Amino acid sequence: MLFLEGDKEWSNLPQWASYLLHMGYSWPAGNVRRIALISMPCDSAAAGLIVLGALIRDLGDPKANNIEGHYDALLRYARQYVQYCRNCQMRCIPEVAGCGYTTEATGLIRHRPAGTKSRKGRKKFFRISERTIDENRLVLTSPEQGNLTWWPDLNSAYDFQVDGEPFPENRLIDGVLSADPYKQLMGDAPIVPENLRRPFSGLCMAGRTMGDAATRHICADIRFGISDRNLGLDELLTIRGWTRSNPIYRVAFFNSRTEEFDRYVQSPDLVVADGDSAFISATSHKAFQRTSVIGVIHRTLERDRLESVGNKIQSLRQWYMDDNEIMDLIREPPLGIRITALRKGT
Amino acid sequence: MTTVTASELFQYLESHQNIEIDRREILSFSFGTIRRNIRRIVVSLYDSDDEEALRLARELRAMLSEWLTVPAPFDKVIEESLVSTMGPPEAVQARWGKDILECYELCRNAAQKIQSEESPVRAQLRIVLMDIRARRQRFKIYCHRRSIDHFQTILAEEHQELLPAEIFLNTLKGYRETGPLDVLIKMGPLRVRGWGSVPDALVSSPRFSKLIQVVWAGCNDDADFGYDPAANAGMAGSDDAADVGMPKQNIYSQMNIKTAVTRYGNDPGAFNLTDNDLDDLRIFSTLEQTAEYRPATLVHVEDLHGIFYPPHSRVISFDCDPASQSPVMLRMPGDSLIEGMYVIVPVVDDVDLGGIHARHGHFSEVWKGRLKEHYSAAPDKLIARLRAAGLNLVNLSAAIKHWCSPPSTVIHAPQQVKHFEILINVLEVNHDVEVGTAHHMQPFWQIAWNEVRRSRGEAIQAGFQEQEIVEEQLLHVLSQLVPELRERASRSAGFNLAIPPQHGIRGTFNFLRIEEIETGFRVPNAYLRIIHDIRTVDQWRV
Repeated sequence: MLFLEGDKEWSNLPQWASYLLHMGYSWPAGNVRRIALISMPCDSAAAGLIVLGALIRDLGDPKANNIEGHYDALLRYARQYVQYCRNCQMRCIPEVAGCGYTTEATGLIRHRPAGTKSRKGRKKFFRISERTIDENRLVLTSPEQGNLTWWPDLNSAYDFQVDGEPFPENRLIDGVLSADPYKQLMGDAPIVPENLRRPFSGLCMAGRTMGDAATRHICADIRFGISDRNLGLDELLTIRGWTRSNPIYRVAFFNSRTEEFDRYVQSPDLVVADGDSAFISATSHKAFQRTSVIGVIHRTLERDRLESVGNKIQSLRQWYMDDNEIMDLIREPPLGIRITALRKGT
Repeated sequence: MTTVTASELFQYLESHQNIEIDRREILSFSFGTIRRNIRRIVVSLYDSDDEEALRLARELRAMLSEWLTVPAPFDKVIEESLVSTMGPPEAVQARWGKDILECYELCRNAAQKIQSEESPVRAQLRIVLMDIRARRQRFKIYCHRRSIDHFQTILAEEHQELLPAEIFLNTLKGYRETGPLDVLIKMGPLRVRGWGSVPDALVSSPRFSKLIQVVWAGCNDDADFGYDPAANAGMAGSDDAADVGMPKQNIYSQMNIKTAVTRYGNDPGAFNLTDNDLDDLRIFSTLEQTAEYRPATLVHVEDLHGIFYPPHSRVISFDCDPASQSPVMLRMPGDSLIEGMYVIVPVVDDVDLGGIHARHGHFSEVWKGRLKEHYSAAPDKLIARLRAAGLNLVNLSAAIKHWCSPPSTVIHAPQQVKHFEILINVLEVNHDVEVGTAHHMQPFWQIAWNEVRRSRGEAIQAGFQEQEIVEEQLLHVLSQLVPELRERASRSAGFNLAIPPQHGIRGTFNFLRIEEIETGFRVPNAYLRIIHDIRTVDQWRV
């Protein structure tokens, strides 16, 4: 596999790029919210490379598709409700409560059986049961039906949604991604064939505040030579609108300036923020309050901007602890890359 | 200029794991005397609550801060600057008392004596430059744009040659685009903000194997210079480390940066025996840390003007890049608003201005004409009358000359409304110029002052909610003018555009091209978001 940056010469994959790909690939999926900040010595496509690594990781995970992703998002919401919001005395002052969340989980879940429209009369409401924690799965009760208990599974989870949020789309897409480039990039990484034709919104990239084009442009500067194919990092990321032919979007895009997603996304598992403003936005935005965040900045920023990022990390330390686990999982970074990682305290 | 790629930079860092900071501290007894006495005057004046004392303190502070951070020659300019700022000794004693006079006299004597010496900082820089040349090393000089001339003349004095323009770096953007170097030269301490400040990236992301820092003794580096939020666990601005004048090793453990300090100078004993070498820049930066002053970013626009914005401001702006998807929008200075874009200053006729409107500079022509007349006929008489009326600026003569200059982006006039009123009354413009209608008579000075304010961009600020509504309307208007804006921007750096009449807002858009964006100022609220002459902004530098 060959690597090209800008208008320079093709070369072997450099250590820094390999490291970032592996970092995304090794990033653990899970229920603990983690926040990492990576500083680079210059502006680069580092965020894109981490996303690519995480995308390849997700291609090998049979649960990494929108059906399972929705179930996991509901489960994270349920945990927040039971462990934090249910007994909280503040309504809702997260900064005083010191919970580390930004909006309240009310514990109310809406049910809309498949095939029905969302008319008022057909909706049913459920409450999250505290048994969710003990059983480590989503447990709901229906006060309208004499506290009937429900255990939605992966498929039926699509009929449930957090009250006040729109139900996700669940449509089948024609088209398929090519497994070969992704496999080779990570040295024969396992790929679940079904994932090549399933969209996923559990992985998100938060773009630069200068706009979608700025993030795409710097990603397009990186190219890979894989089996006689010349592929841009921007194409490999499968972000909606970044590739002409591919209809399978495995990475959602969050516009940090307008604070809008490129499609319906509910609480992704991981967001990689490209730049200081994107990092600050991602760590505070309610859509990411249960999402792990990897922020990538470069150190050739103005002091005020560096301090804004530092202040954000500092304020998070009230609720987060040093994440030694993640530091053990990822290798020692090459000279020039610095990392700090935190995980939500329990 | 080529942009260095990440791969190239990583390759360079891998092969240059040891970075050296060669810090050369310079001592000079004469210059130390000037430093000590200016510092005493400034600290003493800052204790006053008199606006004139504070203004003088700020001017002296800016003057000394500049000498400490640029390689200025020891010539008569130092004495002239002192005299033009402070005035004659009799006036100093009469206005400020004996103690200040004593310090002033010591300063002046030292400033006279110094003219027979060569600045040891310049001598040291010459040695550095000659050595680098002899070794044929790749080098650049990081300095403020306005100090380039001082560097240029260092070699010119003996070798009649100028340093090429491309070796000077003065913006973060320039540093970002710089490829690997052997040596980077910096005059003055490594400060985060204000005078002599440089990007943290110089140390946190070095592109050189050696940094040669020539610095007046006592000017310490900021303890947390080279800040990296990913390495420092978010701790910014900690100032508890001893002022050792060098960055802490543990911050850069990965990089292995080592600092070697050497002292040069004609009076090494002064360092311990007197307070010559206390850190003036640090003392000055603590003097105005009050709530009345807010941190601000300076957007330096064309035609030698600048506008201060408080943190997180959103500025109506235009990006002439054809690839821009939203050419006109609200942007944050230093973040999404960058060099090469345009700040749009709407000069909108609003109720706040009394309902009398005229083209830019109309009323100023009247009073400026009268001012020129009086000043050229009898300058001393005019100055005496202004002083008697209460316009008691120390260097009034220079101020009058400045006010006489014709309107450009702004109308040059006194900064304070009370001074402006005195000026117009002394010129007696009120008596022979009628303005307004029978129903709405206003004194001339009021109308002319509104014109000055409007030229500085103040009119738009009438009320926060009103401002938001007007901004929204203006953005709508501007979004319809994009093709015309692009065409105008391709023809000239800055331009004006009348607001088309069908939009129900009267006024003009001033498009000011951004040349540079600088942080590190603390500015009173009243001075934010208005256009300043660039020569006046240094007083707010931290």
